[in-house]
Amino acid sequence: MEAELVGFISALRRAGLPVSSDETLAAAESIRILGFDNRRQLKSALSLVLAKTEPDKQRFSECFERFYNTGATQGVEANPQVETRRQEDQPPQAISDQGLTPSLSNLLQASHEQLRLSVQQAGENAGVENIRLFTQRGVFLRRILQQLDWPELQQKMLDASQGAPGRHPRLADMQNLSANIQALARDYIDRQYALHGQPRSAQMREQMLMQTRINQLDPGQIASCRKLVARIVKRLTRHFKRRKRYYRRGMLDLHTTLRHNMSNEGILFKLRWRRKHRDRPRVFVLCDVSGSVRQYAELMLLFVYSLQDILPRAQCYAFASRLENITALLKARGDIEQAIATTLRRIGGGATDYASALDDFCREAGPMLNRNSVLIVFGDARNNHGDPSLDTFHRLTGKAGSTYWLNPESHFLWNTGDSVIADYARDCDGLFEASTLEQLEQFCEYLLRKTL
Amino acid sequence: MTMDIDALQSPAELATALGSGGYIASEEVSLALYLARHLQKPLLVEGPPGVGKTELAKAAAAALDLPLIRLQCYEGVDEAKALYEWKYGKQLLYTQVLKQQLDRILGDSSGLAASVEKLHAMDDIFFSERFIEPRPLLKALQQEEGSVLLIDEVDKSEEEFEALLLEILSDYQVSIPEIGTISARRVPLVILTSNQNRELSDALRRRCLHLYIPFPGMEQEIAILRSRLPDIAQQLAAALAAFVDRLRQLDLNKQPAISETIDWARALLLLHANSLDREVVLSTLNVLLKHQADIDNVADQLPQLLPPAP
Repeated sequence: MEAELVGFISALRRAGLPVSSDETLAAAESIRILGFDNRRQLKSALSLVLAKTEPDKQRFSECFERFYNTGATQGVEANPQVETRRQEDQPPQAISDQGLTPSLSNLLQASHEQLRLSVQQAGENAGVENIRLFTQRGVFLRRILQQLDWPELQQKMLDASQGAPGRHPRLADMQNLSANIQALARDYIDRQYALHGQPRSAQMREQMLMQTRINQLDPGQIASCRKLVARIVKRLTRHFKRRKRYYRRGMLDLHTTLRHNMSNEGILFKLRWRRKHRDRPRVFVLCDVSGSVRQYAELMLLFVYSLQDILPRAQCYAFASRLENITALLKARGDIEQAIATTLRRIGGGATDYASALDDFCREAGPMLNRNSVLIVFGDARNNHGDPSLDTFHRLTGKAGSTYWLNPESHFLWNTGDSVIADYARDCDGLFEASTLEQLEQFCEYLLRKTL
Repeated sequence: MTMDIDALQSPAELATALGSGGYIASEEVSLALYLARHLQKPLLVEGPPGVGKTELAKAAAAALDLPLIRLQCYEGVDEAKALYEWKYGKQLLYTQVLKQQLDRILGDSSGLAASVEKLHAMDDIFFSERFIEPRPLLKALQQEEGSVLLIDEVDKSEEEFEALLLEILSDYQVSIPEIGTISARRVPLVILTSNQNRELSDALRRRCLHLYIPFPGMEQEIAILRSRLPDIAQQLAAALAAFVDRLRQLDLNKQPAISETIDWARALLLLHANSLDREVVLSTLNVLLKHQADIDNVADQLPQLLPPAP
């Protein structure tokens, strides 16, 4: 029982449920209390103990069905001919098992359930639970079959069929066995793949999405990226929301303490502490949304929007040839993807003009910048050989507390052609490459660590 | 720290005991309570408002014949409101009353150091269990016969408070710096409820069994109506449940909860309504729906929602 439970729990973990060892113990204990007899009760009990959120319960249910569905009852029915034949041939041994190896003749006499167990055993020996890819199914099928005397069986069948039909008394049995073993093994591998392989390949796919350059992703993959962004942001929010309260308590506040204890004749029973007020930083994002960096901009805006909970005062400006404050558009809690698409459509056309964008930004946001503000510029610094307006940029960075530049281009391309990133970078506190989701995540984490 | 395994030997028996108290428990709910009791783990109950999460704790207390101790969480609930507080007034009163005693005791000691030494001994007197005002969490641990501790709407509290709960939820003990650790005399059955206003921390979830109560199915809702309002005719109860079930499929600002279904049924009984017709429903819709927009919305769709007249 323990082995089975441990197997099930590792399948759950692979499916993304964070099951702790304490929960494993509780699961074992509840099985001890309730017993194995009632499958529905067992499922409810394990779901209570192991799945702690609503989405987790859904995943748990799927995983449970896959794991405890033995497959013997599904799809692969015992071949009725084998059963009937066995009853006719009394006793089975009487018919010569001429030339058959002992293990093969055992298999021939095995019931369907025994056969299923043999296949399962062979599968465990072959390490089918390590399956990762759909395409590996063939390899594992061969490994299982080899353990079940497959080559000999095929050979015997070949020999028998080359003789006159019906010559070998057990030819039909052997054909049935061959079909049954194959079907059972296929079924076993499919279940193992669903249980162990699919979650793993999902992890691999995620890793690929995180590390691929964003402009090489197709629309379907971008959609998956959005889900990933949501997950990343959830993690960051959880981490940094707690952080901001760390330094709240300061030294003893003598005045308030005395005042609060006046009713106790001035005896100090209750102490009051000074609270440190920390100004929260104000983030300004200046995002290039022109054609060349469009896909990056979409995910960047999604990040900024999603971080609203921890950066509530963030201001967002988008520009290509002209600049627009899109904060309100993003904050109107509606369909964020729609809002971003609208932004990109409205402003995204036209050639990039950093000079006019910076001038506009200076006029609109300049008065709001102070040493408590963080300026983030997102763009490839390709100004079509126009004036980069370095003076304006210098003035802006001088007013802001810190300035970071995110460049979605690979760093091998920086400062080639019309890119003037080096000129801008001189005034920045940090210059980062942000061509993959992973790099975007790393920057967001860095930013939150620095500012919150 | 001991706990008798209850006389209730199976989830089914527990469901019967809950049922006799008027709480119709689904199989999963009774199993959850049963396991929480036997594994000695807290039970975290989530679900939409009004599906009977708080009621479950009350019913459990009645079924197990234990006192119910309730802690209502809100933004700003802290140690002093939830766990314990020193009885400042009593401490003060005692120091005043015992002033002369103190003078006498301190009088014969020579020098400051000796007096302070004697005062140190006093500390322990004034900071002892006698001067502690137990709040719900501590009170639940102190019950000789055990108790049902309901920590209601835990999602309304702040994250710091959740951390405070962790010790009591995993070890059934609280640490008071001046005194030490106080363990439960008997392990209480702890039930936490949450309306999912805020994500609870993983640490809290890990320590609890997790039960999600959705809106009841029609069968169950009829059973609840019949149990709460024995006077109601089977036909009316069925029609009510079917109507509410259809309402819950609509996109409403606030879905009608079980308690509202019961209130509505009670209103219909008062009006001596035997069946659901357009006028009756229109005039009583405000019992069931609490937003004007929802009422208007449903009134428009009423012909499709009501069963065709026989």
